[in-house]
Amino acid sequence: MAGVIDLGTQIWNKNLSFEEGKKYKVFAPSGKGKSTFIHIIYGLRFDYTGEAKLDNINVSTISRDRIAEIRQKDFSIVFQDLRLFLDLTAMENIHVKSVLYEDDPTEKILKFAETLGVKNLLDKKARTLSYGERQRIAIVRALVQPFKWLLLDEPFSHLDKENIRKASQMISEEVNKKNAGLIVTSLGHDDYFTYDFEYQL
Amino acid sequence: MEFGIYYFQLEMRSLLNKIFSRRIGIGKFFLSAIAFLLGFSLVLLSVHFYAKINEFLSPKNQSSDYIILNKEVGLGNTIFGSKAEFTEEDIADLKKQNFVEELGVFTSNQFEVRVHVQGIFSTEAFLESVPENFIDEKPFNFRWNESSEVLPIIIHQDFLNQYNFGFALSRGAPQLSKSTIGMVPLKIELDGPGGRKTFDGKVVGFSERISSVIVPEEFLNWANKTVGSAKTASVPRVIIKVKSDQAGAIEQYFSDHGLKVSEDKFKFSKIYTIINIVMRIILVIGIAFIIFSLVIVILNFALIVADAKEEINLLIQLGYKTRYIFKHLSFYFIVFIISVSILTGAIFFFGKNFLTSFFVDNGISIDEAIGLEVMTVAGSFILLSILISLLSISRVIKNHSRI
Repeated sequence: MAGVIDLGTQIWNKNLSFEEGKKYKVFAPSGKGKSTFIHIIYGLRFDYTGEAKLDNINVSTISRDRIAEIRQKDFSIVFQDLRLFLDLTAMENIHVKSVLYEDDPTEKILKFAETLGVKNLLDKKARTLSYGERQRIAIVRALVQPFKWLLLDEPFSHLDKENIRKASQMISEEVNKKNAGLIVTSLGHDDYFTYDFEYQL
Repeated sequence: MEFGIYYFQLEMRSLLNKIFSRRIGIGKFFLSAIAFLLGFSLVLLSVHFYAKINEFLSPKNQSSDYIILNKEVGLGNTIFGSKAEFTEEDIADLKKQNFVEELGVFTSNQFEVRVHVQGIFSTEAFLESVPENFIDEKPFNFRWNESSEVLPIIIHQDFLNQYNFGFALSRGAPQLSKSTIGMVPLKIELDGPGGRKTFDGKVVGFSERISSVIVPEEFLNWANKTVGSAKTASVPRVIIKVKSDQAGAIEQYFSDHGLKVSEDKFKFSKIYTIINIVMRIILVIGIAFIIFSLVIVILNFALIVADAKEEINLLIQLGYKTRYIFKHLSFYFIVFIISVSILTGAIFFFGKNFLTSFFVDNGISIDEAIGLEVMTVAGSFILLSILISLLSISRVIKNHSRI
């Protein structure tokens, strides 16, 4: 599976393809469109010229239902602004995603939450959590589902070094286990993952 | 921490409930509920009474086609004691006439009758019967056999007025309405050559057509045989259904044969026309109301769904199909519509009973049965509201499912 994007500055206005199983970093300072780029790949926005293709199919032509299926099985995402339901507990936020699948996610959730040090926060409302805690909950939510691509939009912006290390290690494991592709956006230099490609936006 | 077994669908519903409950509170449905209740009840009531009153006004209920005849009572009858009765020949001749469509003979009592209203009233009386199809408003319980406990009676409307204004006022007895007279227990005492018998009587209906005290034919035949004198029943009066285009022939025949029309053809036609117009206006207002309330319901539903657009968006971003969300939101609206409809049903029911007795007391004798047209209107209104709300939900979801 690959997203083919006709964009340049290494990405915008260039032709570029992303291959499953590889790890990509897209870096740029704020305001250059990192989130826009992620949203285009995820099929959230269509206000651009050029084409975004998924398996050679123009994303804008894919039906809503098919997009929903892709988001259930193929693409998982951590939004930069996290997008949690603030009135639900952390656990419920993860369940919102996991109820779409038939297998029991409890064990996985607890394991991920434990690793990231948020297990004791699962019963708290998202509204009461700090941004860094919410970020970790969003990461857990992204990892409980099956995926072929994991999109992380500045995922560690509010985490300390130790938590970043644990999170990136855990994410790497999951991505490798699934032989999935990874696209991470970042402000600049980082060594969170061993990237196969790095693009400046 | 205990999480137990995972029932993902149930869990999904309860999660979506939590997500939407903050956005879609009961309070937001309040305006819709009021508009819906008012419009729906008003329409049902006007359809119901429109149908009932139309039924009441239809030709079969108008007394003008029926004429009650008796022989003119002259000096001879008084002096010689001969009775002004129809002979068999008279009846046979009458039947032959072109203008007669149907003819029914009155049977009268051949014994003494006393009616007692407990503690208030006691009077000599008479009873008559006519074939059933000549009774204008035959109540369902107007039948009798030897095992019946109650003797049903139909009286002329004027009798009630005579009692209320001529008798009750002067005696300080309670006045009775059409709907309450049925509750007054009557004792009917028959006294004749065959002995004395007492029955419990009950007024079950009113006739505009026949100015008499009517009991079922079966009863009078039986009573004349067992209590009354053995001689053949006399025919004091006959009722005929006439062809209305033969007024001239009718009058000629009547005067030739010394017949008298015993009842004025009292016409309500003016009143009917007014009622008809009023009913039409109510129906139009009801329809206008229903359109308004549907519009309010639709707008309000659309607003309620639009309020939840961020939640809808986020769910779609997380991979929810619009179908799930549609199903979930539809559920709220269908529950809403059905519960308000049930409430409307209750309001309609009470309103109908209240207005029916109001109409009955005012001389428009209609029954309480709910007609097919009301059911049809109710059913289609519910379906239409569900359909419209589903459409508006799906439109809002579609509009908000892309950022």
